[in-house]
Amino acid sequence: MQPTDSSPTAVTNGSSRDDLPTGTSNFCDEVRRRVAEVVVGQDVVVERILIALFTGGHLMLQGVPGLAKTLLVNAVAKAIDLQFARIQFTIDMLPSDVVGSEILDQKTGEFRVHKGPVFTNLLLADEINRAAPKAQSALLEAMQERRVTIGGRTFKLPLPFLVIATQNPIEQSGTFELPEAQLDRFMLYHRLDYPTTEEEDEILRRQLTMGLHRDEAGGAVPKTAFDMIADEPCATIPDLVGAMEAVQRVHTSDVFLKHAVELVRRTRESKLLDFGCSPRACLALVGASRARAFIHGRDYVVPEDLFELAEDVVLHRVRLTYEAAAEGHTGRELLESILSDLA
Amino acid sequence: MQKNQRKTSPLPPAGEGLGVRVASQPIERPQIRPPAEPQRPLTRPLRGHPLPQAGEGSQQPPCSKPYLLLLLLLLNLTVFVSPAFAQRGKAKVDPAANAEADTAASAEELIKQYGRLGEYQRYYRHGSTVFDNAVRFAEMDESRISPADRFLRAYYEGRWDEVRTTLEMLPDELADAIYDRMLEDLTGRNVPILTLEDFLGLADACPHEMTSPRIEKLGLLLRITVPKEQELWLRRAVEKGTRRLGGERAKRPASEQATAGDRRLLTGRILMHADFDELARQYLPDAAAAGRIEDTAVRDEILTFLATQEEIDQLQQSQFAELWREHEGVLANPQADSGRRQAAGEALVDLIEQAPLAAVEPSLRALVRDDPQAALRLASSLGKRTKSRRNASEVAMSVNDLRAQKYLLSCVSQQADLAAAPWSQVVTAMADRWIHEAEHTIANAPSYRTVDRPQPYVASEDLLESAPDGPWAEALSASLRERIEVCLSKVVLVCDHLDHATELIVRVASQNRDAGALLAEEYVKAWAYRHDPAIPEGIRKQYKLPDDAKIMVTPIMMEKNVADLARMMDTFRAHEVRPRNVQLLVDAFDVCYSNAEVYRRSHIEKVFGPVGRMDDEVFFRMIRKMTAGLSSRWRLMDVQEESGTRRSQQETLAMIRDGYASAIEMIDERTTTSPGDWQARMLAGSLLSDWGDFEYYQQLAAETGTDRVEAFRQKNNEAEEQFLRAAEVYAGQVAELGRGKASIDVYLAWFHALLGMGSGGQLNLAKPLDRAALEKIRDMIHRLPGDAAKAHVDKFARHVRARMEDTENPLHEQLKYKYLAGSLVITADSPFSFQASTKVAYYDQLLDELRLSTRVDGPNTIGRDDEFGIVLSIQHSEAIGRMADFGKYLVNETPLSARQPPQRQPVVTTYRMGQLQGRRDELEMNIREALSLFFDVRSIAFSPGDVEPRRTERPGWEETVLAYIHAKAKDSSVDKIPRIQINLEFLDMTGPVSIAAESAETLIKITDKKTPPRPFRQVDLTLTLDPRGLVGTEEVLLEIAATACGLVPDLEEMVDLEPTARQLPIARIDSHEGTVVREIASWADAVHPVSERRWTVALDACSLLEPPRRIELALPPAKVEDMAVKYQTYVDMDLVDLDGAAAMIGEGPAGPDRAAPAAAIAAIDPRVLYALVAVAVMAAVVLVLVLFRLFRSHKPRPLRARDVFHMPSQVDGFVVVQLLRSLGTSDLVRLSPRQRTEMQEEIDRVQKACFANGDGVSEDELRRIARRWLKIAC
Repeated sequence: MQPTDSSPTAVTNGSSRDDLPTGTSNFCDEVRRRVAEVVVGQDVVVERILIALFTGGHLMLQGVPGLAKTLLVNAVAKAIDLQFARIQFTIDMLPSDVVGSEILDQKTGEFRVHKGPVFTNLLLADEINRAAPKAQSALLEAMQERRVTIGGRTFKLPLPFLVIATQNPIEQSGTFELPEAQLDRFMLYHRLDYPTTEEEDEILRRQLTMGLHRDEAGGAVPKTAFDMIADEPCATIPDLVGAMEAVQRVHTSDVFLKHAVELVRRTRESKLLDFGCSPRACLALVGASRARAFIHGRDYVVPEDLFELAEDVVLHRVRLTYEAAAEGHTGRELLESILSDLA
Repeated sequence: MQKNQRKTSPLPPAGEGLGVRVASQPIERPQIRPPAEPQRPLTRPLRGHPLPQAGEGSQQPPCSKPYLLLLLLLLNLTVFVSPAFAQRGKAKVDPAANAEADTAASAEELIKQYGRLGEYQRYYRHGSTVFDNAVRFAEMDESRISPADRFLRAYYEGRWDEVRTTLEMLPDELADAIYDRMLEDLTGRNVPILTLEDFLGLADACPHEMTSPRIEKLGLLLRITVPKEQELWLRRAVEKGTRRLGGERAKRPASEQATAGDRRLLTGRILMHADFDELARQYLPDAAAAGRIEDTAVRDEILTFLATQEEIDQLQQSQFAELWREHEGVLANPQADSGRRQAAGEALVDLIEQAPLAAVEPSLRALVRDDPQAALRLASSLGKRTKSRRNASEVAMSVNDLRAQKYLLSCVSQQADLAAAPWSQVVTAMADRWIHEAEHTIANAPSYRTVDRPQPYVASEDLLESAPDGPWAEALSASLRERIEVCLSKVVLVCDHLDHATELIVRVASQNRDAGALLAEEYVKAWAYRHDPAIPEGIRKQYKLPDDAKIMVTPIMMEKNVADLARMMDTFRAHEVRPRNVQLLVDAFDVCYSNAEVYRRSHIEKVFGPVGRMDDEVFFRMIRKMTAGLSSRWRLMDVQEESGTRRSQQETLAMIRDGYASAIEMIDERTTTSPGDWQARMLAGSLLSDWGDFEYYQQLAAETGTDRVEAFRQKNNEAEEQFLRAAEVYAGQVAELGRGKASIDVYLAWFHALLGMGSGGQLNLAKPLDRAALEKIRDMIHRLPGDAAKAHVDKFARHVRARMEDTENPLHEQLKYKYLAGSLVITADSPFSFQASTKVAYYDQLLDELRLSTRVDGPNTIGRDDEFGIVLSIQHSEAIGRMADFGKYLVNETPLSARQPPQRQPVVTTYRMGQLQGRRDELEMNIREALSLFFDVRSIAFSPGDVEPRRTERPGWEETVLAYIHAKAKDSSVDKIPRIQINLEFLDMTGPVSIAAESAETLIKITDKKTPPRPFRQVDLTLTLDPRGLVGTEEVLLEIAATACGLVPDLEEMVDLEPTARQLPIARIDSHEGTVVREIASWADAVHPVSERRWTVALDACSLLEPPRRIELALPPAKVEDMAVKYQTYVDMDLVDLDGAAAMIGEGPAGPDRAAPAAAIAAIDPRVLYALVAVAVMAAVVLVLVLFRLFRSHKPRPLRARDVFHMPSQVDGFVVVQLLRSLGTSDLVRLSPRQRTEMQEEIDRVQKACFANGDGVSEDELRRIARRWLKIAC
């Protein structure tokens, strides 16, 4: 894997933007611009969110607290005019807190359904690994089937439906590691890094100029980045759907598919891994590559897409053997080796 | 606040009922009235009484029965709503309040709530549910709690009286539904939290009849919640009694308790289902009383529980005796018609089949004694039945039949003569029946015979027990008795008492020799099966053991097995029992042995007798078996390790040699006594040939340090002598042999030995073909008298042709050419060798179009101590170049094993280099084998797999460069580069064939004189001055790295060290590993290697330290003009380029040396200067050497782009794009901005062509792009 600039290039080899329906031609740039007004840096994460949106996959973000994960997702949701809900997972959370429950209306003596926060377009499952496995699995079922059952009745979730989960590094105390089968449901697993010095400097500068947020009663509190998110969306769900259609038209060559399959196959054959990637990983890799190609203005995928996304798609779907871990191997190192062999 | 709540609550507060007034409290009316619309009638009546219809309520008198019941319900509700009031157990009803119209509506609502309890509510009492409900009910507002919730609270808090009371007042169906759901949930999932008291309370809360399902569920619940350790408390609790269970009546006599509804009976049944058997017996009635219970299911259940095995047996005995008497009476009754008698006989046979023999014996004996005619009829029925059941699956019945017929005949023999009619017929039929049953068992019992689908069979022990003997056997004919003997022997072979079989076999053999021999063969098979150390397949699969898993045969086991087999063979020999299939005996002997032990002569003779008197066939088969073992498993160290022998390689080698010697010795002894035995001599020849191959080619032999060539030559000479003798002896006998008995075995064995085809099936592909020996074979055949010579040549040619066409066991591809060409030396004149000669001609034609050649890189005169290069290449026609694809011999991608055809015979390929990974390893082995006697092969650089052929001056011909061999002559006597061989693979109609192409010898001259350096050009020289260790080691290091096209020459040929040495004396020069050839550049104008060489020159710099001074050190200038020289030095830790061949080193002010270093040095007396330098060098050399070694070990050679980036083996758009991207982003690659732009454009172009909907880029073009950028970048 080689570090490359993940921002969209000016290369317009393809004609995908031209193929978009009216209003969606600058979709990605507009969303990026709107997010950039609020969040400094994290271009890669915005790209990953857009990939998840375009492909209908779900995204897991891992990073220590304070890296603007919540702010980022909030900003994207408002930029696209999506319904947004956030669940802060805690250890005492119940499945009904996620999907909703049947409650007894004492006036009528009848049960009525109280829909949970999962009924939204963009759901931020904050610190998902803080909840007990039962609550985690309630959300993961919804992710998989895009519908939930409450009191014997089944409800479809609104479309698009995207879960962006965040989790702290599992070494932290009070966390429950998600099993591999559940992690596999996340199309992408992105590990956030700290901002660069310049970005951090910019964050501080912005904060200094935000001023106060006043209420009607005359009280005030210093503004935060959340207050700076513009309420007016820059894109709509039809724009998003148009972009999704364009992604579906992105050309994927045979040679690319061959190498994607080869990558996945090699993870299964590696003696350092307990188990390799599932076919779902291969699908995710190709789907995400198409979306990335679209975001970068191409109507065909190139090897760079695969190399850029491999870590996010593959790494959470494999597990090192005990011996390999004991010998100091890491999944990232192994993936680099496989990718190196691939080319 | 509470008061307000009471006013707005839809339900009455605690302690108050609807329309119920408690005497001590004022009546408060509910604030919320029932709805105004007419009330719907209750769908179900309360306790079986019809409810008043709408409108009827007002017309009914207030005291009418349904209304009163409703009021009673509400009254009861208040009982548990107000625990304090309930404790008092009394409630006074104000009749005036009962007239409230809203009461009925409230009751309906209540029924609805309770209905949900029966339909939806779950009654699990797991940890979480109990505690969660405890918390939930504790947090509920007492005034707002609904009746249903109160019921649930009572359930979870274990107030079973309240539960019971509530259930009692609910409608029957609803109460039953709730109670049954409780039992269902409590027994349906995990173990609930339920104490003994809870259980008793729950049982008491049963609303109505305690049905059997409820009893079973309560029993199950009791079993899972009350452990056996608590039986004491359970006993006390049931003795004390509850509302529904146990109590004082337990002390009553059991006879007084007989009704199914009795509390004791209920208790007993619950305890019975709970596995408290002893306690249950105290509460259940005795068997007699239980027999009077009307409910059949309950009665059977209890009787089954109470009945003991003894009672059941007694019952069966009495039933059996009764039935036997009944049918015996009919059978013995002369007035009964034949149909009835026949039916009675069959019924008696049924009884015999179903009852054990011990039960039948007395009755049978009495029948025979009292009525012989009836016994005959019974025997007839038994015979008919057994005939009809032949080989049937009812094994137990068959066993009973067999036993019964033997017992019956035994009884009859005391009363009548079995050999006389009518019993003679019966005994024959019954013996025949036994024989068939025995044969069925022999065919199906799991033993040494393989049975595909085994059917049920009578156990061999049962057959032996029921076999004809005594008067029965004596009454049979001799032939039938013999059949029975044979069957008996076979039955013994499949049972566990194998030892008894020898005696039987000998007995059979004394009467019938052929049958005895056959039985002996079966016996040997069974013996070998029993002693086979291989794990049976079923066990291997069950425990996932490897296919060749075996039990380890220890020396003690081996000795015991040999003794056992020898005893058996002695017995057979003594009674002249000779198994005809000799191979069985040899295999049985092999089974005796550990897998890792060579047969010992003493053991062979112990089993089969002295060698001189041993049966011919046995002897030859044993020797062949031994030969196969010697050439395969016994010599393998893996086998030795697996068998736990702890033999070292030397010991294994010695054991194999002893084995060969022992086999030869036995053959010699044989030939001494039988000088005309040409087969023995032939066998000796094969063995000696194998032994010679073993001495030279085996890895084990290679490590002994003995003269392998001498041993090889000696053994082969001896082998040839034996073959010659064998051929001569055969030639002497051939005239006496008939035409059909002519044999070419001796010539074939000789031929195979020359080809390296071992007698044990192993192949030695490296064995050179000895043409002179082949001609000897030809001569020996042609010396045969008369027409025999031609007949033998033709037969040999036909054999070769058949071997060539054998698709099941084809010739090894590397042997095919050698085999056919070798055979033509012998059979060239035969018309049957036409195919072989055609095939060989085709192979020779292929070889005509290519020439393997070697040439020296540079002049052929080489200095004795000089290293030089040998270029190995193939000159070939364009057509053969395309067909042969010589690049495949330069990579290891295809393993050798994948190319070899399947072999039926065990093949052991003997290589001295261990396991080869692919074709390149094979070629490397050939090169090293050929050159190692004359040269020290430093390294071999192979061309890449996609090597392109080069044009040659000969039209239509090309040259493919294979390898560059970096070597040095061992001494000055070397005068040639010997032949090198490559195995080239082709395909013909018989499959793949490997033809060895050999290079011609190339003459060279090794001279002791000084010779010019080997050719080189384009030298890149990098001199790096490293003054960082100056203070610590008093040395300055000068690292010199050179790369060149050709072999890098010596340092003094390239640079002049004199100017530097004048300033700082040279302490030492370390030349590291010498010249290293990195690759062979066959694409350039001329073929040359790319080599590297490194030196470290240590300069003594102590003069710079005291006093500290700083000088400008002159670095060595280049001697050769077209040499690219780069000077570098370290500034702190950074490597910087120098502008010229000088660098400032040292600390402090610049000393006078900077101004006039040469003058100052020149002023010193040279002798003093040399002495000073020598002393300094000697003093520093030890310390510097150690430090330098340390420094060297911590300073790896810097990585370069060419180390990282290589031409990919498989090329497509993906690979090329990624390669270019990697080159563009790598720190190791330095590209100009223009090149970067160009590279990006190239990437874009390839991406667009390969990944967009374009036409793609051809593989050649991609390969060209990759190669171009690799050259630019590396």
